[in-house]
Amino acid sequence: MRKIITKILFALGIILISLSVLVVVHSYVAQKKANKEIPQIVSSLYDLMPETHGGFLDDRSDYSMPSVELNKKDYMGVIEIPLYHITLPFKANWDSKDAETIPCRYYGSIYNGSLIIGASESNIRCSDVISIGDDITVTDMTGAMFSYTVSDIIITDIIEAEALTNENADLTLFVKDALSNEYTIIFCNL
Amino acid sequence: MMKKILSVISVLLLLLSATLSQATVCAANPIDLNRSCSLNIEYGYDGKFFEGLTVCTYKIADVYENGTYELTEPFKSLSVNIYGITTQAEWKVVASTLASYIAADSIDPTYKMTTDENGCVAFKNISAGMYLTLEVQTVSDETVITFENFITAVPSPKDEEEHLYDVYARPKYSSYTPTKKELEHKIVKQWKDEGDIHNRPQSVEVDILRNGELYSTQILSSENNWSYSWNYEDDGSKWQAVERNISDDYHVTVESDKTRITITNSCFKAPENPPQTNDINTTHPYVILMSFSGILLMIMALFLKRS
Repeated sequence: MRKIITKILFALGIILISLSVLVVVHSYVAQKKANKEIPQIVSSLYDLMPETHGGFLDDRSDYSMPSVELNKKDYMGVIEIPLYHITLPFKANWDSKDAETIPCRYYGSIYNGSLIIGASESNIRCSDVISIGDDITVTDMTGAMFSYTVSDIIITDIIEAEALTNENADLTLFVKDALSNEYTIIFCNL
Repeated sequence: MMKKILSVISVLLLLLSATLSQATVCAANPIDLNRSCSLNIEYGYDGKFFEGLTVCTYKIADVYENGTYELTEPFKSLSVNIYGITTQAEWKVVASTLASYIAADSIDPTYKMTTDENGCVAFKNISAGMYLTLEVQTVSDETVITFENFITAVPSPKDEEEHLYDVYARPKYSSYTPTKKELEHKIVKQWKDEGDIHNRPQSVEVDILRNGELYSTQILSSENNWSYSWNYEDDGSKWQAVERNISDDYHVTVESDKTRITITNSCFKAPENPPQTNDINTTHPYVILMSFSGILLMIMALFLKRS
């Protein structure tokens, strides 16, 4: 009887460890695939938008941001952090699953300074080194490029809408660190 | 002196246009709808004035005494919105959109005149309303000079109380020399519907126009990423496009530059509250948990075997 229990425990142990390895490999492959697609998506988005020009906030009547559909997914623009050579597309709608691989607009509009974008550490790996004063640009699908400076950084365990909506920030990014499970909230101003 | 006055009035017009809100002209006194108005336009720059240009202007909206506007036919039946507009850039997009449909549907102008030796046209005794004056192109020493489309309220608010019944305007101009090289042109469909991908039509039909004539009809859909490109020699041609059979839920705008035409369908959606963030998933905690459990089970198995 003891022998059977020993064998079962051993087999279960092997299965769990094998499953962990499989999950890690699957996650690695999926991330690699997404990272490979990102430059192509960015290139297509730049190709679909008019010539880039400086963007500014105004009192327009319609603050909604235009999006383009690319391979049946909706994108609203490109975010760049030049210091770390990061160029990423961002999707039009929030989806916590999608945000694992590609940044997603969580809420708001670039035109009234309420835009919030969420991403995972696999995209913006530098959240631990990003610092106040760094430059970030966001280009919308009309080619308007908005330039921001990081004004504040907060690290928190739990992410909630209230923590993200900062009236003083013109752009908010939040990035999840996969290992520590903490969120870095980056507030930026024009 | 006249030039200075015109410049001042042009600037004033731009500022006044920017104050048009909810398709309303903001001046306290009611508009005298029986009074005849005039629209005076000067085509020139750097002391050079253009004689013999054909200028077409369209009355796109009627005005009421309280300064409220309403689109007139045939523009009323187009899916174009003029209400609630607050910035000059937005009016520019409306002008570009209506100009595209005017070309595509060969709509006759309300008034048509040719510029005199001073580069001026004067549309006299016109009724109050909102007028779209179409872009005018001319070629000088192989350089294409373009005077932009513009929308003018006639009469325009003079100050907080009064209206200016004789309106003067000087359209913005740009110039470039065609390279005669082949250029890639592209038409792109954009959406302003908060990413409501399921409400969109399966496809849309667009007519592409070259110098006001139908060049090609294309179907845009997710199969071609809602875009179409073609090559054509850079010969100074004017490219426009219109979308046909627009869904009732959407308004349309058309913007174009030298090689790019963007057709945007907007669908009003009330701003939503921020969604639940739903913790961004990461597999690391599960992997660590499974690995530890696996190791623990194996240790237990080894312990049982030894004892």
